[in-house]
Amino acid sequence: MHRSVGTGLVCASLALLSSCSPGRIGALGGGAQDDPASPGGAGTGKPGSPMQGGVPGSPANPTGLTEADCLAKPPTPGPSFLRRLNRFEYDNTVRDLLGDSSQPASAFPPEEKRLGFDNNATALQVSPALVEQYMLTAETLAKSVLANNRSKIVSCDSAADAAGCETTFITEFGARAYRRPLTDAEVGTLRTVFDAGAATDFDTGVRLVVETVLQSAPFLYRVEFGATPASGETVVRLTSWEMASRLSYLVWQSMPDDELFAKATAGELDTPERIGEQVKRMLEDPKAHDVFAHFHDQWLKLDLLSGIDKDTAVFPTFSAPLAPLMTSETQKFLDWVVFQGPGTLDALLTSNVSFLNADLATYYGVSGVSGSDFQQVTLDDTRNAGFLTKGGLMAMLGKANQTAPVQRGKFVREQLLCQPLKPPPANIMIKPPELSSTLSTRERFAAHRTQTLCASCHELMDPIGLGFENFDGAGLFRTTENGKSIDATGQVNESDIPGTFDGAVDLAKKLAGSDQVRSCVATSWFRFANGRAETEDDACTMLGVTKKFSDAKYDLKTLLVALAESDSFQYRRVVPAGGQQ
Amino acid sequence: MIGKRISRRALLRGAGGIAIGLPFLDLMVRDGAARADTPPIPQRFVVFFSPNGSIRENWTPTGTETDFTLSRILAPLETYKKNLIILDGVDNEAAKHGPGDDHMRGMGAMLTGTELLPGATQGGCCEPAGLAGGISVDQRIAQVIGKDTKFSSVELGVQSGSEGTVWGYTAYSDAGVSLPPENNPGNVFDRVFAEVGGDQSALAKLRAERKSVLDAAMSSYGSLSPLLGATDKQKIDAHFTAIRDLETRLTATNDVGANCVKPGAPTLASYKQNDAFPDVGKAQMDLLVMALACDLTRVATLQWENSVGGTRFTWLGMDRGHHDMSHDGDDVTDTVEKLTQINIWYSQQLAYLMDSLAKIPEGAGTMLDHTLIFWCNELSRGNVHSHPNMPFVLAGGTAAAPRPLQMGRFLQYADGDEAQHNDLLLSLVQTFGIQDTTFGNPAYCSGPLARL
Repeated sequence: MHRSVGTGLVCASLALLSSCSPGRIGALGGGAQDDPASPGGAGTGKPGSPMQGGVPGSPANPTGLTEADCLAKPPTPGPSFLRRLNRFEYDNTVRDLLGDSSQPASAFPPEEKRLGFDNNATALQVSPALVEQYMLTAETLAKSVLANNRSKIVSCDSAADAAGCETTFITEFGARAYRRPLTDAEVGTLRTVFDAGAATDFDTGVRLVVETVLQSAPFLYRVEFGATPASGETVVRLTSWEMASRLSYLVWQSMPDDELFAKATAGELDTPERIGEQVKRMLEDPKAHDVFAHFHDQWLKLDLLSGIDKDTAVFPTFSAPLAPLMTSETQKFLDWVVFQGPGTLDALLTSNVSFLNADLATYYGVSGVSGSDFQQVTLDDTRNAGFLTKGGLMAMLGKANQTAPVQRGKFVREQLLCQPLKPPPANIMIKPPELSSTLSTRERFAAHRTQTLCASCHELMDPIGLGFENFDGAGLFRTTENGKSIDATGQVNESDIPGTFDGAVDLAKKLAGSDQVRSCVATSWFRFANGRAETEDDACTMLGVTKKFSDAKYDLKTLLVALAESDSFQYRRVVPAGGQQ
Repeated sequence: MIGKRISRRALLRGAGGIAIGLPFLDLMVRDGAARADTPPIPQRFVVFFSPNGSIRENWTPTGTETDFTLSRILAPLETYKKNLIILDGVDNEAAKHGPGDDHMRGMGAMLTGTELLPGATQGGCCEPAGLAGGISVDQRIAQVIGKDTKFSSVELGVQSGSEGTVWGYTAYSDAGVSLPPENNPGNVFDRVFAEVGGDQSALAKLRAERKSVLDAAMSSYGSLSPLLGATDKQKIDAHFTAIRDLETRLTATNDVGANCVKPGAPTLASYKQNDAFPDVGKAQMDLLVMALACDLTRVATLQWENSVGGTRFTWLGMDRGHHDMSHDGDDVTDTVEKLTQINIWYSQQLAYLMDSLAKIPEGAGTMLDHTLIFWCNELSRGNVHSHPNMPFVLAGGTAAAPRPLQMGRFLQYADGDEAQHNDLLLSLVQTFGIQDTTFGNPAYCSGPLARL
């Protein structure tokens, strides 16, 4: 980081720059892995065109399988790992299980994000601090539910029949918490705990059982074995109980509701049609909004936005309280597209709808908005297209006192085209060119293109990022810089949309028409949905998902349905005890 | 002496501060019961971390090993000159290898002597990285000297950030398993002192309840483990072990030390505000000293900021963040002076910690004689992000340790391989009687640090 202590040209004196050619774009062609130590791990992927196999840009189909090939094959799901509830899932689950909305997991140690998401199975390790937090939180939650919401977990009259009520409580509450019926051994264990507490009184027994359950493996982890395999079978369908949990944690990132439990009891989560029907129902529930928001926040890195600050000497109308408003604007827009608007990836990238309140409208110079509540507005479609041109994203991808064309280009390259770039080498100075009162940003960054060694990497970022020059570092639209008209032309080389574009709106439209972008979105959702990287074994799943996404005109809710109906979601490998997964 | 004992509980109830006078000493007996033999004096180890490198020309003492003059930065420690070992010339070799940027590698290797694990955290250069690749020296020491106390170790932070990445952690119980520092003094108080001076029968009941609950929870991991594939089994087994360790700790009764006075609960308006930084630090140090005095723990880390920490030292008249300033070139003399002032301030904080320990009598001396403090940093100098000549100070004492260190010295090591960082970490471990022969990545360890 910032190696040089002196001054000098950016990107100067590069003796050892080797990382950007030819393998400058990493992690495509099946290269992304949960464990970056593995060969071909993130950042070390194959060079060259991301257009591979039968699915343009699909990281998961380097083998070029066709639909016919896939139909002729039995399912081949990639590996599935035990998934621990992350903080978001824990909070949602105790909300639905206990009626507790206090979000206690905010005190837990944060997850290490991997592949961009906080639910990667491999990355979710257990530390002593977390286990202690699980205990303290379980104690708090158990006390609280008894004080405030006892009937949510105890449905029977303990005064009338203490022994019967104990059994009812343990089996009913246990099954909801473990998301499947308890085994006899589990009932026995919980009975022992209950009886230790019941020596004081019935509710102490309840409290200790709640504490135990909230710290037990079947609650904290999603344990799956699948159906019992027939002799020689290497892949099995998940049981209906396991499927109910997969679905609820996909669409709600929480436990199943009564209907999913009923379907599991009846064994009716065993075909793509039945699964798809449930997902469509679940998408109508308000809880689905939270999950899309959680995905979008991470995919677009919106957590970086709320803390931005700008140099008010350069951006005099910006103030820190605008940052959370910009975050809300972007989030409301994304939610609107999926749930009220057209619902498509195209609209996400190109719609000119937005949501402003008076403070934001004043900042952007939009008239007709009053009050602190957000209202839907339609912006000038020659200047605005989708989430990319929102003030929030532009300010987030901006320096304190200037625009950040490199970061903007990198964002498009990595988040939308799924082409992770190699980081700069260790022996390089990273410092934006000095500010100038006469030169344009494009001119200041010219060294990136004139110096061969810089250009080998920066040609992948700068020509995209400079296309956003109509938006200053604090997210405001502008037509001139230092008295010169903005030149916002650019191109997206090394992609399926290589031609030139003029300005961010044009770029957004090109991205919306890119199969590579569509495939990237599907791949990101796959990683989020399955908590792991795609593998070559998931190629048929990715092919099927991409086809359904395409058939539905890139409708985002349909993408979720398609993922749930996919082989990789319905099946798992048979893993012998102690065997490699 | 006064012929009347006061009960431990009576003392715990009444006390509010940490100041404790000599007369108390002879009044106290440990854990209520008179003992024929005096218990051995505890050995303690404390890590004191400050980030972003130092300014070597204002840090290095002058003179010889035993006759030396402290530098500007270390001058606040003048009173304790005989309690210091100043190490000049230790190279953090492990920090020069593997993925991650210089801050990340320096932070991960600082106490572990290992390269970082592969991971997804992207630094300012180089391959992305995960957390540190091995156990940290404090935790290795805690496995031995911390096994008899309520908390095998306590991790404290002062506005430490960058959670979830290697920038944010000093302590590791294992490769990739960090022990997050607690930044909120109120939480430290609640957690560490929860059982001191409380209602003993209620505590006994809580312990019994927790034992029932944790036993039952543990059985769910025990029965699951043999059914799983290798990767999942490893995870479930780790969870099982963590619950078992928690249960062992929580169900143990605490044998509070003779010098134990339960401190008052910290009353800070906000522990997150930049300008509260000095107050938070003092509160954490006060809690730490009393946690040691109460023998609730014998090992601790005190992490000021985090690697790449951006605290603004406004109370020293500075507006820019610490890390931001640390990048300025050596020609910016104003910044060099400010960074010197920051390190002087940290030196003053260490002096405060030593003062507090020196006020508490123990054995023939004070607690300071039995507490070894390791002042460390993830970088040598901020603007070059280097790892040779690390600005390391050992402070306090090891008077009753199995292999005591001779304090009051200034040790200078030649450039090159004479003083390897991992050799120092090994020496620290051996000081406490642990028989290890290497530490961290053995490739960077050639045995205990020469002359130490």
